[in-house]
Order: sequence, then structure tokens, then C-alpha cells
Amino acid sequence: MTFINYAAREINCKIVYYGPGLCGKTTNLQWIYDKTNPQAKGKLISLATETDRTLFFDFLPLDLGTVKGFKTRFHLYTVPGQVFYDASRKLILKGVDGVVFVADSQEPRMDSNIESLQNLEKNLKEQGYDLNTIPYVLQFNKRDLPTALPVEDMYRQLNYKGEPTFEAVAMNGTGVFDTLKAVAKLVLTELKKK
Amino acid sequence: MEITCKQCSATYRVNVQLPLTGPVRVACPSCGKQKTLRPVAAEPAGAGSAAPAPRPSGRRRNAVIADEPRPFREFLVAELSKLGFEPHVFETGDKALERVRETGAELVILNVYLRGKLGVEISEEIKADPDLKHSKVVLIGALFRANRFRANPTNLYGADEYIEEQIPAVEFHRIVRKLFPSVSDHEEPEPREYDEAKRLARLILSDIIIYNAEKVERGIREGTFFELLRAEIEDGRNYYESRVPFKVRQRTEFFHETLQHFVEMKREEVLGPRRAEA
Repeated sequence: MTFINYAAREINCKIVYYGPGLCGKTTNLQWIYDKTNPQAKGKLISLATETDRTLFFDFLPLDLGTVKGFKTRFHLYTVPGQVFYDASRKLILKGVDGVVFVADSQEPRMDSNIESLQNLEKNLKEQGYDLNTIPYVLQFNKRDLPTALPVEDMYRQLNYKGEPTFEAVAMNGTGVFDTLKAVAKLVLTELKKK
Repeated sequence: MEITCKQCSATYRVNVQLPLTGPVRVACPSCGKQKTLRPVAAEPAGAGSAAPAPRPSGRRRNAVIADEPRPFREFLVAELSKLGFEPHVFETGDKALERVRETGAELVILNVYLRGKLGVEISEEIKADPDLKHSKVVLIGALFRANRFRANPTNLYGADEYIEEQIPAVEFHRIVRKLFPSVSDHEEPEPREYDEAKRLARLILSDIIIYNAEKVERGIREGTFFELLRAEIEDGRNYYESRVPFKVRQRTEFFHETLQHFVEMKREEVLGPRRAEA
């Protein structure tokens, strides 16, 4: 839920990067962190093990200009992707304003993409949200890999409601900011409606 | 006889004559871990006199329910039938006790307050009767403004368990399985449930592989896959068991089969068909 601080004239929004294990959620955040003006960002907090498992979440506060005189501050989170960590995912979804689903383009991970998307839908519902109405963007990551499935196949299997969709290679930043801009725009549009 | 290996979680069958007359040593075909099967020690004379005769497979267990006619009683009948019991329903305590004595019912569910003899009195009588030592008793508590006054009962009058009317089916099944660990779910799973279990097993394996690529590679080459990834496999199995209904797990071994299939396929890929067979 968007938090508006009238005294500080600041709007705080929460964006969650969701997706299966090792699909590139943390890599997205890392790229955003590396390429953002130091004055516009906070610390990137990452709880991960040496094998790259995100144990709980990554968190990155980010300033994205002003809306009607209010500073907009986006809090970016990732969830642990492994199927076992469902309890953490549910917790992190609390108070979410927008979701980016990062899909792994590799053919052997398609089942995991589908499971993760279904899990997102279910966990949102449990928190009282609806994937049909929440600002939502889909990203096909790892497009550079030789085992990547054709975009049309992925779209057919993962498109939920005609959401904005981006091809990405998070390792070199391709599509990372396009994805972020798209979800931020949807969140702000939603905010203006309220 | 079927054994699950503690080291690699593989399930294998051994051909032994039961009951065992002496210790028998068996080895897991997957990881070689040895295990000694010992005959069950005989109970001291008199100790098992009230134990029921072994239940022929397929026969449904007898259950007696003493409760007033209400939807909750129907719920108990339906759920017990799913769990392989043959429930008999009575409204009064005396009739219920008569039936328990006649049939030696293995499970007796009693409303605390019954017409005639009270449920708590019947519970005490059953527990005091050496011939009914094997009968498990569950009391149904009466609720008074459940959300205002709520305390766990301190005296169960000898009963083994206590339930209340709002109990969800899953919780009721858990209690019955606690009392009868070998109880099976007689409801046939739907094809969809089998498919979901298979898919979940594949997903868990896919996560294990992608997060442990190096260990997987080494485990396949050295034949130590199950040893190297023991912790991950254990986590995966626990998650699988938490998500897949008991009735599906009881009839299938999808998680284990998925792992086995992957190891065999990968060994052939890495070592070639001949060496993989060796």
C-alpha cells in the first residue's frame, strides 16, 4: 500500500520483483543500484548465501523525481525464488504496489516460471490483492542464452492480462530500466486514480 | 518388505521371511548403506493380552460415534469413512458402550454430554476395562460462547484425544492418524492431483539442480549424488510432503522416482551408457 508522508511531502511505493529461482531478480536490482546516481539511492541490502540464494529479500530505496510536488521514493524488493521459501514470499508481498515478474527464458525453466506465476497469483490473493488489477509488468530475462525459448512461446504461456512485456539481459542491463520505468508508471497512474 | 534408506532416501524391496527369526543384514542398492533388520522382541507375558488380533488387510476398522443427530455427526461419519473406518452411530451412551463391548471398536468418539450415560463416564469405563485396552477414545467437547471463553480441558477422563465441533477435516485426519499411524486414506486421488505431485517433484529437482550445478556434476561423476546433496534433497522432500496430499504420497513415490530418473539419465549422459550401467 502506497505510503504518503504529507509532512515530508513524500510518496513511498513498494515494487516487488517476483520469479523462479536464479531468474535474475537480484541481477535486475544490482544493475539498477550500480547505474543510479548515488544521491538518488539508498543502500542495497541483500541477504544471500555464497551460492547466490536470496535468503529473504533484497531491498533498494530509489528516488524517481516528483509528482505534484511530492517526492516519489520507490522501494524495490526481490523474493527468494526457490519453491521452498513460500513463507518469505508471502511476507514480502505485504503492502505491495506493483509487481515485476522476471521469467527465465531457458526452456528447462519454463515449468518453474509457470509455477512461480501461479504462486504469485495465489499469494497476492491471500494478501487481498488481485493480479488482474495490481500494476504488473512481465520481463523475459536471459534472452542472450542459446537455450532461450522464442518470445512468442513465452508470451503465450506467461502473459496474464496483456501486461507490458520486456525482453532483457539483466547481466548487461538490457531491458532493466525499461521494465522499472514501466512498472513505476503503472504504479503512479494507479496512485493518481486514488 | 519395503525399506527407505536413511542415507540416500532411496526406497527398495527386500525378500525376507516374516516374522524374522534372527538379524538380517541388507544393503541399499543405490548407495550401499547397510542396515540390520532385527526380529521384534516378544512382549512380556500378559502385557499384550488385550491387543487386538492383526487386522486383515482391506478390512475396515470399527468406529463407534455417540452424539446427537446433527451435521457434525455426519461430518464425523464421512471423514472416518474416508480414513477406512466403518462408523456406527448412537444417540445414547448406554447403547454406544454396548456396541463397543460387542465389537471391540478400535475408535470411540463420544460427546461429553449424552443422554443416559455421560460420554466422560463411558470413557472411564472403556479405559478401566482390560478387554478394551486397544480402543482409542476421543471426546467431543461442548462449547459455550467459543470465542469468549476458551480453555484447554485439563481432565480428559482417560480419553486419548479431545476435539471440538469446528475442527477442520485436515486436523481431524491428523488426530486420527496420530492414534492410528497406519491409517490410510481410502479416497482415491484425482488424476489432477497425481499430475500436480509429479510437476512439483520436477520443480523441486529443477531448483536443486540449478542452485547446485557443481555438486550435481561431481555427484554424478563420482556416484555420490545422494550423499553430496543430502541436505537439499531432505529440504525438497519435506517441502514435497507438505504440499502433496497424503493419499497421493501413500500410493506413489514421484519425488524419489524423479530424482532416480534424473541421476540415471545424467549418468548416461556424462559417463556413457556402458559405464553408467556398471
